[in-house]
Amino acid sequence: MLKTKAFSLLFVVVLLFTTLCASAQGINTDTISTSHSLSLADSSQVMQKVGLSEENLGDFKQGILEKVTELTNHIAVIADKKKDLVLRNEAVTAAKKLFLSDEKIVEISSLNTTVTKKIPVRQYFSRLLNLPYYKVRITFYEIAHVSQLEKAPDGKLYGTAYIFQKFEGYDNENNLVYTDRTIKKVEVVVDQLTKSIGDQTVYIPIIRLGNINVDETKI
Amino acid sequence: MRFIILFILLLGGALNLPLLSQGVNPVEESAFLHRVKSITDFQQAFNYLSTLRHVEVDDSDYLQTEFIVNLVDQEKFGPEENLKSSTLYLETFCDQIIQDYEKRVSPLNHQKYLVEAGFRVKWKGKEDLMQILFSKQVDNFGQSFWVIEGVSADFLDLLPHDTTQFIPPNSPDINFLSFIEKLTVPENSIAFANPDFQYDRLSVFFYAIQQKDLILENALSIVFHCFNVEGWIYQVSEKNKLSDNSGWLINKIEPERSFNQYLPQYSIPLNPLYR
Repeated sequence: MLKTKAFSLLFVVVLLFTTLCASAQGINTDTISTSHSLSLADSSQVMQKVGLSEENLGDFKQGILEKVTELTNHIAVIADKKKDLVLRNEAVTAAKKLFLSDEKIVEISSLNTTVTKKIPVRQYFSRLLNLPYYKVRITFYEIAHVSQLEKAPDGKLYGTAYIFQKFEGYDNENNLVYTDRTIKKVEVVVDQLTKSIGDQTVYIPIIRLGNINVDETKI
Repeated sequence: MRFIILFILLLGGALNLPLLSQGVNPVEESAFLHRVKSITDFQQAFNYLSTLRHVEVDDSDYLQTEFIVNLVDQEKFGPEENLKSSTLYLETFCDQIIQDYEKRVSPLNHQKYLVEAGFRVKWKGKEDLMQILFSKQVDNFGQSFWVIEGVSADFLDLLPHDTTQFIPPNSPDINFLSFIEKLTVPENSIAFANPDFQYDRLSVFFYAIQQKDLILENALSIVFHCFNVEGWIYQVSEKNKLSDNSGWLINKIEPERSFNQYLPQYSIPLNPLYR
């Protein structure tokens, strides 16, 4: 009897502990907390006297991951109908600024057809803002994946960041009416600004996002 | 005892609570985490530089045979436990790779693969399909870019040589009138070339693009043809599955052949006169 009580007590303690841990993490998949943006000052310290070279490719990855995380945060806010429309519009503006141009293309492929839709980034975010669902939930899986960066003949570095996303749309009775899982492959371009400060040349990396391929997947 | 079992079961469930509270399905999560996410991932893992979870490989792990199994599409070649014995090709291929690792030869790099992309296109306003073969170039400054090696599409082929057609011997005397007349049947045109003439589809492709007769719509498939393992050619392409064996995987293995035998669609077409 005593043993039973002891086990029950232990179980309750463990259950409470794990639940508290989950709460403490504060992770909500449809509104992932905003990442820390890499400020230009931080970047320039990293890049001082170095420039865009093979040796320091790793230094850019952190900046790219932060850009991509920023993008996913904006997507979560834009799609979240529970949030204030002003805030969601601000997220659209902020998201567009992450790109080389808001004319960059988002190519969307579906499992059911070989025909893809191509829309400019600005239109993509506008659509996200006006999705016909009462509530949406977006889950991002391991957004921290960036391919190898490679230098191109224009002197810029090119790479691809991967966003694995699950989308769920609910009606006003909280029924799941649409779901898809996509892999967003985001082109990343790292350019640099060269500034002379006294007798020193400082290279400031500029990380921008380019075209996006959105692949619907069975996963 | 019952309470212990119940406790363990409930504890297992409780430990999953954070994940489930986020709406994340552990199966999906696992599939995403273990997926070979990019061709860079594949290359790193194939060259045994890091695992698919981006953990650097320790030399003590060297020659773990399971690593190659994770890079093969198991749906295509059979379940994991039977993978090596399921096909003769795969078994021999794996042995070859293990030997290569021992000698530290045959890493996969850009000089040892070609990429073939299948495109949906519009040819003179109509839907069609074509393939383009690319290779990666890296210059002396380490700058890299892709170039087109060849194209393949039925609509880029010239019509067969009609051997009954010719330009008459007296043509210069009469301002090539017969020649002009015969060209009113466009299909005849190739018949008037020097018999040594060999057309190439790539030139036709560039011309068609410049004339806006050909518009590329979107890529439907991407296949890496890899030639780094001596005696073998293998193909890598992206496969989306809800399992840990997903992403960029080997889906075809063949004994090595000459380029013209392996990818004959990109070889220079023979002059129809000599076929």
